[in-house]
Amino acid sequence: MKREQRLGERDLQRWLGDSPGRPVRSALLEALDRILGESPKPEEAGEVLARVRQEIDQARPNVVYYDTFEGTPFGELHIAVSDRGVLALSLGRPLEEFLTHLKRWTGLTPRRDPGRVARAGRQVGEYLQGRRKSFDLPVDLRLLTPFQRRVLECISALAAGEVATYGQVAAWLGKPGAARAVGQALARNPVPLIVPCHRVLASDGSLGGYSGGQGPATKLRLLQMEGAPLPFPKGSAG
Amino acid sequence: MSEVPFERLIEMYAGELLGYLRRLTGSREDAEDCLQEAFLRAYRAFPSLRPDSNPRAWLYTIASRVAYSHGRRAARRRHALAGAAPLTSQRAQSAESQAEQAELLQAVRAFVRRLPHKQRAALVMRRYQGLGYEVIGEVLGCSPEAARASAYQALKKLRAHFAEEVSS
Repeated sequence: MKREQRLGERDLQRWLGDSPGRPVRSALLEALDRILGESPKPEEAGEVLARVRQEIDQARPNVVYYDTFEGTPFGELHIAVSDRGVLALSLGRPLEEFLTHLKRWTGLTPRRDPGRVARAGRQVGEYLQGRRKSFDLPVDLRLLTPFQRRVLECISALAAGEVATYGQVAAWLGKPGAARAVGQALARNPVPLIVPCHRVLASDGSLGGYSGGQGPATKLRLLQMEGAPLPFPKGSAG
Repeated sequence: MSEVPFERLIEMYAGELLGYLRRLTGSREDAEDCLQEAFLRAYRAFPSLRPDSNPRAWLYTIASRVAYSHGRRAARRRHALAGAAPLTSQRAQSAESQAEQAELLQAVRAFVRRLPHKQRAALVMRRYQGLGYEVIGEVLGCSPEAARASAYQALKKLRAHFAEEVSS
């Protein structure tokens, strides 16, 4: 390294392209260029792109069918299914809201198809009338993040009449500090009732949030219907 | 959602981002894994990308985060993989200076790997990705001035780290 000169402030600025002119010759900077300067060939990126396209194809539904069911004790029920299973469910909310959200979320235009949604509609209808305790339905969680999926898969094991807290679910997932993240994942559950996010309560035993139907009131009603141990109203535990 | 379709967006930036991730991770395989994960994350987030946002900066941001968490995972399970890439010098050199250069390359490579993520990312984006400090700051979540300072920090550290070896 005999030819190496001291690198001044100006040399560094020139080298970074922040000031005009050529920087001094430097073995160090040349080494850096040798290590970092090489660019991938176009076809190398092409291989990654091909894998990404394939994963995206598998990662997203390419069709969405929906149907609406009236006259449940909880109001209008809307269900959307893909080629793989139930994609979304909405209870007691307007159809327009459901379709708008569905369209934005999937990038697809939902088509009404009572035949394809009938099985899910029948089971959820029976559940809402108190005539069914569990579901035999595949769900399509492909559009969720891996963490959201893990949370929903984890709480699917909760049977009617059972409850857990956000903190417990976090601990089951091996992330004891993540109660809040669990709560957020549950708040975005696209298939409530089928994946029973209403069975997860705040860590102090109070009800916690619910975004379906009439909010926490619907959550409480579902839990009462299932005969779950009733949650304490917030602040009343002591 | 952005004006440009997602497919087109990833085609436009795949090569550039693969280069960026190689420089950040120091490994071809890690870079490919990171790019794949970054694009899939981007795909999920794409519907909420604002139309007025800069998709290039957005993709760099995601790629940087993926590389950062990938690097932390890799660091935890690394068993000293000091594999120096083969030299590709065209010039004929004496065996002695070649060995010396190989040694320097390996030392600089190790140095780059130990740089804090933000400094390495700023340096790479500026010198090798040709990005301006506005965009680099956006990617790193800081001001353009702080982005510039990070790139310089990396170089000053390099200078200081090798000061003795180089002058001896």
